[in-house]
Amino acid sequence: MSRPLRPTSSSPWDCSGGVFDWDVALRKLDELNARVEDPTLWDRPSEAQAVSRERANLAAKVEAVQSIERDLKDALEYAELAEMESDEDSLNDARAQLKSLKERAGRAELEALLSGEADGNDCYVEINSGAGGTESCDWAGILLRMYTRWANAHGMTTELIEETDGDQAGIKSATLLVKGANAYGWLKTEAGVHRLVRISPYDSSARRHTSFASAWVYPVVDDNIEIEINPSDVRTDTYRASGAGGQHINKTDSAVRLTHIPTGIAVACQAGRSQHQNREEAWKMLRARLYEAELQKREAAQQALEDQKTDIGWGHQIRSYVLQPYQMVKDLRTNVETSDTQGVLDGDLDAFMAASLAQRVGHTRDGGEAS
Amino acid sequence: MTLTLVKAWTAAKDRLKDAGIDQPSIDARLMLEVAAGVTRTEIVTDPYRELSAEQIATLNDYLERRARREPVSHIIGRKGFWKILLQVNKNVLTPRPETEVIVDEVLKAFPEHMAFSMLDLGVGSGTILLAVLAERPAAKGLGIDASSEALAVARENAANLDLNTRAALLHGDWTTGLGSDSFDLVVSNPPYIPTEVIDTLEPEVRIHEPRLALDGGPDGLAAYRELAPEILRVLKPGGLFAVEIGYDQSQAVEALFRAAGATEVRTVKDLSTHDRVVLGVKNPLESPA
Repeated sequence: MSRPLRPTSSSPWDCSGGVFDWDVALRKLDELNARVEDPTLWDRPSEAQAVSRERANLAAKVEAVQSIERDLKDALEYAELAEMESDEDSLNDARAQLKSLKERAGRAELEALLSGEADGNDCYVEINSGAGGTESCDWAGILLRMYTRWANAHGMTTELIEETDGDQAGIKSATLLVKGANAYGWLKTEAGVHRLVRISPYDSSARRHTSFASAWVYPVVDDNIEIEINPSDVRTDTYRASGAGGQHINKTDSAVRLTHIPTGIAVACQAGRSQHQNREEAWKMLRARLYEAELQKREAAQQALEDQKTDIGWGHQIRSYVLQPYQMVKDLRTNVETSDTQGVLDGDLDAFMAASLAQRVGHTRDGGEAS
Repeated sequence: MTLTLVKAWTAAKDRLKDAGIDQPSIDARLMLEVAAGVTRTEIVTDPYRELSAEQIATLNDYLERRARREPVSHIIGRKGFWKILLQVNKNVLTPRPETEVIVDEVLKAFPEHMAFSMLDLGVGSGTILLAVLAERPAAKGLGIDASSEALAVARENAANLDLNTRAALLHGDWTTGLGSDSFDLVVSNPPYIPTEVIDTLEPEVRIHEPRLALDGGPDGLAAYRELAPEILRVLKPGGLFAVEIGYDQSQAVEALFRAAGATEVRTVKDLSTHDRVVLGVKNPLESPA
C-alpha cells in the first residue's frame, strides 16, 4: 500500500463521532433528494450510486426517528386515555408499548452511532479454529453458523467465500461475506477470541474440554474509501500452477490466492464459479484486509493517546461460552451475560453487540476526538 | 438409514480420496450441492439436515462416476467461465480457467459500447464467444465448429444466455467459405496437445474429452499452421486476433503468425505464469485497394 487512506467524500457528520444533528440531517436529506432528482447526475453512474445510497441511508435514519416519535405520541395518548378510564388492561398494554419503544429507540441510537467511515459497509467475517483438533474445528463451525443465523435474522445475506474443512467435523478456517446495512458496524464488535467449555461429543470418555476459535472482521472497501495497492506488490497463486495447465488439465479447482508482499497479508477465494470471479473477489478481500489493518493502526494510536488499556482489539479473548457444568455466555469486555446459551449459539447476539458498541462509543467520546 | 449433509460430505470426500481423486473436498462439495439441492453455505451452517433417499441415490451415482474419473463438469453438466455459466457434456472441451486470459485481453481492447464483429474458430460450448458477447452488448459474433454435437451445446448456451440473436453458430471447417477482411476480432482455442502426449494425461482428459478438441498433430502445432494465414485473411485490416497456446508453444506460434504477416505479435501469461495467449494485429496498411 503506497498511500495513506482517506475518504473521498466527507460530510460534517461522517467525522462527528456519532452526534446526530437533526436539523442538519433534514437539510442534508432535502439536498440529497434534489440531487437524486437531477437527471444529469445519472450520466455519472458511480457518483449517482453513491449519492442515492447516502440518501437512502439518511432517509432510513430520519424515518426511524420519525416513526418512533409517532408511535410514542400514540402510546402516550393511549396511556392517558387508559388512566382516565382506570382501565388496567389498557394501561398494561400502554406500558408494554412504551417498553418496546424504549428498546427501539435504544437500538436506533446505537445505529446512529455507527458513523465510522466503513460502519455502513458489507464485511467479511473470518473464523479460525484454535489449537485442539476436531473439538476446536467443531467450535469454529458453530461460530460460523451463529454469525450466519444472526445475519439472516437481521435481513442480511451471507455467502461463504472460502473454507478449509476440519478432518472429522467443523472447519479449520472459513470466510463469510455478510451483505447488509451496517454489517461491519455491528459485526466489528465480534472480533476476538471466543472460548467454549463443554463436554465434547468427540471425546468417548465424556470429559470437559475448553476450545478456542477467533473471529476477525473486516469491511468491504467500497468507492467511498480510497486504497491503493501497487499490483507489483501482489503475488498471485493458483492451484493449477504445477503442470501444463490449459487443455492438458480438467480439474474443478479455480481458487486464487493473493499475497501482499510488503505486509505478508494473504487472502484466498474459491467461492466463484470461475477463476476470474475468484480473482475479483480475492482482490476485494485484499483491499478489505489492508484497510482494516490501517483502521487497527489508527485505533491503536488513538488508544495510546487515551492512555487507556484496551480490551476491544482483536486477539483478545472477548467472550466465553460455558455449556457444562452450568450454562452461561459471558462477554468479558462488558460483563453482559445470559444463561440462554442455545439462543446465543442460534444467533441472538444483539445484547452483546449493543453493549460492546456502546462501550466503544463511550471510549471515543471520553477521548474527546473521534477518528 | 439417515444421512446428514455433514456426514454425506465427509463420506463423499473419503470415497473420492480412496479413488485417488486430487482435491476430493471441493469435488465432493460440488456434487453434494447439486445432488441435495443445497448451497455451500447451507452445508456448513445447516449440517444436520437429512438427505432424502432419492438425494442419496443421486449422490452415490455421481460419486461412482467421479471415482471412474469422469470430470465433475460432465457429472453436474455445467461449468463456470468468466462471468457466465455454461452447459457442458462429453462432446465439448470443458472450459478451462486459463482461457479466461483471452476474454480479459479482448475486453481490454474493445470498449464496452463499441460495435464490432468477432469470429470464434472451434467454438466448442461457446466459451469465448459467449463470454465476450455477454459483456459487449453492441458486438455480434460467429462461432464455427467441425462438430455438430458441440454446436448443439453452443446453441443451447447461447439461448440460455439470451445471446442467440447476436451469436451465429455454424458447422464448418475452420474458415472455409468465409470472405476476406470480414472480422474486427478473431479468437480461437484450437487443439494444441501433441498426439502422443494425450495418452499420458489424466483420465479425465484422455478418456472423457473429445480428441477433436485436443489433438494438435505430431508437434501440437498443426492447427496453427493452417489457421495463421487464414486468420490474417479473414481479419479486417487493423483487426485483432487472440489464440490460446500450450505452455511451451509461444515461440513457434508467434513465428507462424509473423510469417503470415501479423504485426504487434506478443504472448500473454495466465495466472499460473505459463505462456497462454498469442495476440497480434493485421497490418492496417495492407488494406486491399
